[in-house]
Amino acid sequence: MEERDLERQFKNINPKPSAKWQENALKHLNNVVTDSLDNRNSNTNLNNFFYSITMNTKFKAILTIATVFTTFAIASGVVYASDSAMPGEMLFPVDKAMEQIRRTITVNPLDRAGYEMDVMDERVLELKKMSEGEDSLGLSKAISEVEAQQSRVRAMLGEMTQLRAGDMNQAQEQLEVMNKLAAKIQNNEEVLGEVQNRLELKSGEATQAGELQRVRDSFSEDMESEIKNFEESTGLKVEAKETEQNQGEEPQNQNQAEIKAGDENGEGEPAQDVQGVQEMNKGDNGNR
Amino acid sequence: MSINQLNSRQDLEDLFKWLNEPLYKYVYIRCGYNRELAEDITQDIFVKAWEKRSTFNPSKSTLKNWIYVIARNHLIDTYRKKKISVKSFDEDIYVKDLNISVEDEAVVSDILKNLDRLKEKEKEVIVLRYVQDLEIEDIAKILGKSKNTTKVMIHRAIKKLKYIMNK
Repeated sequence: MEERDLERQFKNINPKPSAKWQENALKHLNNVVTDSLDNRNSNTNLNNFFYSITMNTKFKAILTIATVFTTFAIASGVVYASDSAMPGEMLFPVDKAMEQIRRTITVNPLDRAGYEMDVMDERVLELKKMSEGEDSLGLSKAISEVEAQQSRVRAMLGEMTQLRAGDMNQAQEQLEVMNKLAAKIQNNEEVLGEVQNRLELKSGEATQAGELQRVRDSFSEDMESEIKNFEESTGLKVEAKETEQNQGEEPQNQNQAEIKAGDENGEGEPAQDVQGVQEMNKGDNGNR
Repeated sequence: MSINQLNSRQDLEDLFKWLNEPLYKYVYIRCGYNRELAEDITQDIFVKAWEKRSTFNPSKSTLKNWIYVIARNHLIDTYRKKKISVKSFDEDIYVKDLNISVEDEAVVSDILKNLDRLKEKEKEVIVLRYVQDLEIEDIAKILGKSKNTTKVMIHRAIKKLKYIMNK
């Protein structure tokens, strides 16, 4: 048998699913879509449920408040300490757990997108700190954490695209988030670039420098494409700027406080790092 | 029909109507000619596509290639979990499912029996190229390989099949 005959016979193979399956599968997919949309609202329903229970009687209200205060008093110390924990440290999972809770209670997709961008800042700053030390394993973990957070930002942008497809009125509200995204990308790119330079200069960190390069390139490319898609689909122009409200907000945690301190120095860098970075840049210029 | 977005209920329905038969065909041949299993897996592929829709980037891939990647990964997962007991083609049982003319039955049975003697990767490229009738460029993207490598893989696989059949 010749190849041509084989090709012809392959084209004749045409198994088909049953019509009944096609009908049932379509129904099933419809249910899957409905469930996924319901789940998005379930957090709000859960909040309403607890609200109705606790507001039923004064006793339940007092008990709830007392429990919350007691728990808060115990947990706040741990939570506060965990906020500055680095990847690989014991309290880092607590920090991540607190972020997960915040995600769960942040129902509005735009608020959530803003929050994911703030967490991205935190991950980038953690990576920067790790790059200053000698913990190679922790450094790899910090790079992975940055990449994982970038995926969350990507997912939120996907959700925003979907919302926009259903309601173009969303575009104007989303513009604010996109502006914030563009500003954050610029800031983070600068910090990540400095981290990469530092890793390239350090002996034994070439692998991590390569890995970071890959993570940066992939994210930059995706974000450029997201911003371009947004501009093309809405006709709005994205500009790298944070909202006035966000600029006036207190930093969310110690790491963000550090960014703010750096910004006040006009460098976008923490004050104590300015000299080190300048030295590093000098060395870097000589190497390129 | 050809769509390139997956944002709404309607998109998913259109995607299903467009690709359920080709994907079923792909899964059916790769999962041991088991009709019910192929239907279950095909349905799962569309559910997975919906769940992962936020990862689809139209500037990087077509929706069709993207869902074939999901199908391929899902089949690999199912194999790994040993939900599929790989069977060889049995003309007495399966030939009626193939919708082929009576005069071609014997030849097609022979081809499928010999196809099962190839390695899984060889079988996969033959199915994608000749049964699914996909372009080499699309197959390369689905497999995550270069166009040239894919071309060579297909050429070697079909040559091997021809050799086995003519032996």
